[in-house]
Amino acid sequence: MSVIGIDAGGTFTDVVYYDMHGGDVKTLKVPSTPRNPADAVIAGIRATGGNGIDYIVHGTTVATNAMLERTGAKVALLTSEGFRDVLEIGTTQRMDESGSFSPKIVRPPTLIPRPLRLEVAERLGPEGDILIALDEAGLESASKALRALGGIEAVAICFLHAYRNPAHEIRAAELIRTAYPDLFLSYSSEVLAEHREFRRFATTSVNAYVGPVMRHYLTTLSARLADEATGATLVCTGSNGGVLSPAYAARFPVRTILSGPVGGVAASIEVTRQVGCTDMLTYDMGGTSTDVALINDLRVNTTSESMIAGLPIALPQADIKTVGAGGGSIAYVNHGRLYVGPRSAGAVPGPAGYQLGGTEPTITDANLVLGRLDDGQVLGGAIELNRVLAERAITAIAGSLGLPTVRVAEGIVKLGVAKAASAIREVSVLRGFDARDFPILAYGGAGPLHAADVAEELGCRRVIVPRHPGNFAAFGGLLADLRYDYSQTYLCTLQNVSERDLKRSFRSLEEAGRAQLRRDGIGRVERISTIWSAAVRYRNQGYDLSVPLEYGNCSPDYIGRCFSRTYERMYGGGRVASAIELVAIRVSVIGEVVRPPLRSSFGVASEPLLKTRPVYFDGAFLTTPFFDRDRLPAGMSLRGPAVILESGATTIIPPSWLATIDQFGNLHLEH
Amino acid sequence: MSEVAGRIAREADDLLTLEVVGENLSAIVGEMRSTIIRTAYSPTIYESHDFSCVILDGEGLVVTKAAADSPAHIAPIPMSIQAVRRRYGSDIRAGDVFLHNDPYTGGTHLNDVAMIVPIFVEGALLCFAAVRAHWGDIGGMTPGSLSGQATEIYQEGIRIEAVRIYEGGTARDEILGLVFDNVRDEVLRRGDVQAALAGCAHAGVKIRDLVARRGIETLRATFAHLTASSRRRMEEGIRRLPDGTHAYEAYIESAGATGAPLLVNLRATVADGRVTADFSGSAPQSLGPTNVGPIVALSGVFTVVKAYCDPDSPYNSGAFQPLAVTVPDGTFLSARRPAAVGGFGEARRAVETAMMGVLSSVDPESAFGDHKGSGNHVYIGGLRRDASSFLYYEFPAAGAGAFNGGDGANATTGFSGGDFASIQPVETIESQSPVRVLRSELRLDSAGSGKWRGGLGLRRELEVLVDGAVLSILSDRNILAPHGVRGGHAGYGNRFVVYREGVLVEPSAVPGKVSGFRLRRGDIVCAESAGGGGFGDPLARASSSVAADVANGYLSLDHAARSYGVVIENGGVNEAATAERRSDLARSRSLIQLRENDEVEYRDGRRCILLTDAAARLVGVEAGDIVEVVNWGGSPLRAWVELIHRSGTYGHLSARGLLIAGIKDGDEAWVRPLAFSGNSGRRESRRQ
Repeated sequence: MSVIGIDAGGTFTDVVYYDMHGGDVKTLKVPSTPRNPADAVIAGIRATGGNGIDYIVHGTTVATNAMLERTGAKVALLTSEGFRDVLEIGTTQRMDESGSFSPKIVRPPTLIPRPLRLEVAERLGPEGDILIALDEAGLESASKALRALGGIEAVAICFLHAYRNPAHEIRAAELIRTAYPDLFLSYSSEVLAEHREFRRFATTSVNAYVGPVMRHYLTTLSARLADEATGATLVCTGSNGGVLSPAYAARFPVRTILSGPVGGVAASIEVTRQVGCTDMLTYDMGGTSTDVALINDLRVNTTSESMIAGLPIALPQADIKTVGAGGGSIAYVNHGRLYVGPRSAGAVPGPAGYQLGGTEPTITDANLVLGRLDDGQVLGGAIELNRVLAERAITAIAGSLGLPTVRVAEGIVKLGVAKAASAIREVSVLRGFDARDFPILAYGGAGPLHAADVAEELGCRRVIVPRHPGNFAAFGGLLADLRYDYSQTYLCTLQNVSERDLKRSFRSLEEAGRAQLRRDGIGRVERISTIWSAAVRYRNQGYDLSVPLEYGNCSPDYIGRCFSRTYERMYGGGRVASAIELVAIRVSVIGEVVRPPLRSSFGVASEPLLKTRPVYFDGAFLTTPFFDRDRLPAGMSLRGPAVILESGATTIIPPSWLATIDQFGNLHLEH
Repeated sequence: MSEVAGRIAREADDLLTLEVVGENLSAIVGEMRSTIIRTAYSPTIYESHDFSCVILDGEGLVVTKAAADSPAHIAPIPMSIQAVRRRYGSDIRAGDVFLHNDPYTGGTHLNDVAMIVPIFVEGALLCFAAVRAHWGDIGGMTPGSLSGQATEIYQEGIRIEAVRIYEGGTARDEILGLVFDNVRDEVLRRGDVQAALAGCAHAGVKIRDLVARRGIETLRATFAHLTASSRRRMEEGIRRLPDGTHAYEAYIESAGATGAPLLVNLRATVADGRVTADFSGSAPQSLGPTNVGPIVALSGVFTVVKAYCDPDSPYNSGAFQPLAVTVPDGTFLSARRPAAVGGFGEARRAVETAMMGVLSSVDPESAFGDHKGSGNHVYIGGLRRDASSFLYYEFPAAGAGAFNGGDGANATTGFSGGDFASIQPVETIESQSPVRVLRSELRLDSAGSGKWRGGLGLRRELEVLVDGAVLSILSDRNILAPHGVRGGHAGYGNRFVVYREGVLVEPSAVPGKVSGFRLRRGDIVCAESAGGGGFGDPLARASSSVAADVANGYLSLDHAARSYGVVIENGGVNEAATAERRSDLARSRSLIQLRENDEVEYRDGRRCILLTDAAARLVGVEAGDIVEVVNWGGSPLRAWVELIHRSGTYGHLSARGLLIAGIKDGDEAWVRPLAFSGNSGRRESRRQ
């Protein structure tokens, strides 16, 4: 019996194969096949040479890429009369994060062009009361009009105040489904039953837009898997940090849209548990970006305020902050100032030092110049690093700064580190946590390379580098539980709700999740657990805090106490006397899967020291030993400066840091 | 290591450290901003984000701001700090918090209240954290405080010329009480102040952390580095513009109740990395709400210069240093007590329009159409059925101006303001106020036509569900709609009307300036925002683009034929008919010979153009109408028609008028009526 985690990225598809009996791990990469990602998935499974595969966890960017590349379906919208432009008008904001003054404003085009947005007479009030009954005749003619529009592949139904009363949406969906049984159909109250129409409509339109593509992909993949690995169960990683059944992912593909970095966070929770901690900052630095998250009490926070391709996705997802600083981020000089990123050299042409034709200096090139990456080192079995080219690229910009090349290289690394640190502050400080109290778990191709510097910048004293940091996300899928999230809007003061009513609502959301797990019928689920939380705020505020509740306890008093405590931690005590308002209740139903044990062989008895090289630390080149990670035995400690090499990542141990290997093979850096 | 190499190494360390600390400061400002959004009590802050956060150095110069902040908030903050300094001198201590909103000493309008918190490290003042936030109400004669009919500042709320609200960490409740006792919706106001305090307190903690890690000298050096490099960037940007002197005239179309326009007369010189702007000849202080204090001219000039020469990089006080702005005493741009100033947004945009006019002639390739030109503040206040009070407030965004190579964006917050959400979610409005939104849509045909068209404006219909609510509006560019450039047409103007039992009611005699209009239950307030100005000749627009606009429902068939000469049949372009129609339209343009004559340049603050009877007939205007003299290399001159009863078909314009229109004495120019487009009162009836 064996399990496989597969993470299909932009450049490589990472595979982790786990033999549950033999207990050993195989990690490998195959080139991604963006035109038909299933090809790489099948190739990856074959490459493991494993048999008896019974569980495959798949991290997919099919929905994400359909959004980023705008290759989704032709979607029609049915909406309340007078509101077909909600999707186009949005909040009227420019949504340009750079704060540009350019009068050449270009807003991202809507997913549903105006002629495909149809209106239906109907109207609900803010309490869900029916002001204008659904115009059935109008609905019929809108339904007929869909055919005339030609080539419609999906329909989104979005009515005002449907989060309060879904009746009109459900009725419209029935009618359309009867007329067009093959269309992909989504209505706003099933995708996201929360108020603020633009966010809800936009999220629903994204779901419809990527729906047909995702449904087709998962159908194809399932069929091919049935040929390859008979009997294996397939699941997909979701944006919320859990995994989803393929049927659910095909119906709500918007819930997979930010699943990219989630696998790594799921694996991080497991490593956090393994090393005996409950809190951790995760630092995942790859080729184009850095993703950071905060784990508190073995959970990752969730947020409902993410954006993709200029559109809000108002669904709960793991609170992961992404900044444009990766190994391939390009450094440049503008008006005498040095900048790094967010533009990236990508995999092709890549950093100058990749010898693939790139000439612009990147963070990777800066590391090469400083000796932190070794001249001639081979990445991913294919790319050989060349220091001369890296140096040439950096010297080209050093001239305009009037500084020596090596200092500019140091500056580039420091700026990349400062950006990562800013991102970490955002997920920690802004959530009321002091980053200095947390260890940092570093992974991704470039994470372990900069982790100690990031820690120093933040005032953290401890860094952990797990096994296989370059394939960590694929690992994570294997450790993630099935997870389904539900919510119900309340929008009333706490004193106006009763514990009995709340308990009934919590139980009914919970039952929806349990029913979903029963439908999934996934054998590896060994236990079901439930998380209750409440979205709460002071009356008049526009934003709420998500407050975790003890399971089963939902008395208004208790919710109020939990809220006050969390609020005070985040924003200090000062506030204006006003009532506490319950915005929504939320339930996550978790099907806990059998986890493969986290272990793999390492420290085989042979000389771990590979060579010594000069590496630049804090103003000077120091003679530095390079070690092979696979040969470092448990219990061994190394004093910095040192560099540890392995397939897929390089770890830097600066002077004044001490590294030790624990019994699981994790590297612990302390300062 | 040699001495020289050692010095280079130290300088390198310094420069790079400064960049890193600069990054730290940006992060702190971002954290301030986010704290405030998450804890604020009024939608103006948490939905619209109408506030800005900055860190200033010990001298009171802005060092770092957040990306989404408004330049109109940022530019005046150093003056607010000077006001605090003038009043309190060296009596500024750790734990103090100050408020300032006085428009005459660096404020904007009274609703924008600056909170200033000095940050002390090791017993010495290191820097300030400041927030300028729009208070939903600051007292005065109408809910929301801004009113188109105000004649003196006392009607607009309370004026705070620097006051200490916290002393050494302790709240001065008697002062806070005085403030909060005089504003509406006290709980919301207190909640917002608490949010700003939390944001500033957060900045204080983080700055002290930063000092502990980097040292106080590094912070001071970073402040100096950031302002110096911002200044240098601006100078280099200005150097990329061709040197030269140009003039332009813009207007506030009506100074409140009087209905008289206010002229912004601008002459500006670009030379040697500096821009000098002289507002001599602008209208005197008026009895309406559109006067402003001395800082607004500077911030208006700044945004447009920045847009032309260096739009993308961050900025701080250093970027203002290459600008010299002269505002003579006595004008409405240098208001004195007791001038009303609620319409500062209108005045700022009039300054911007004037500066756009100048720079469109300096650099015609980068020219772009005007936009919105107004705050468009719309307030509906009153009592719910349970007698509690409510206040609805929005400031609907308009279409962006077109530029060479692109159409203006539809219904989008303009480039010159903070990136605010100008409208609220319908579902939020309806759950908080007895107001029902009947429609929210793009406004048909509102875009200024051109080779590239402007963006469409917005159209919202709001039904009032209670009796006795009042409507106040402060808006401009209802008559003098946002201009196009290089032959492009103006968009539709902003427009606000009420439908009572299906009949149109103008809520005020002067469009866009409404004060406390009493609404009845069932009244429908229709708010329409302007379309952006077009770029270039509409007859040069690709017929396929016109057809696409028709297919999208942005443009009516009639408008396609009249403005663009594009004939569309069965959804497709009839190319032959289009070519014929386009050449007819080109031939029928009213070209008028214009002769220099300085006798009557302005009358009652309005630019005059004298047309012979025949010329007026050809243009299709009468005395008192407004025309545009098209400037193919910049922005059009706008003028009011006077008739001269002489034979011949020609007109008179002053030398300065000819200069602005980009023509020479005796040249022919296209003189066209400024259509009062969009004011037809058309309304799709929703109910029988």
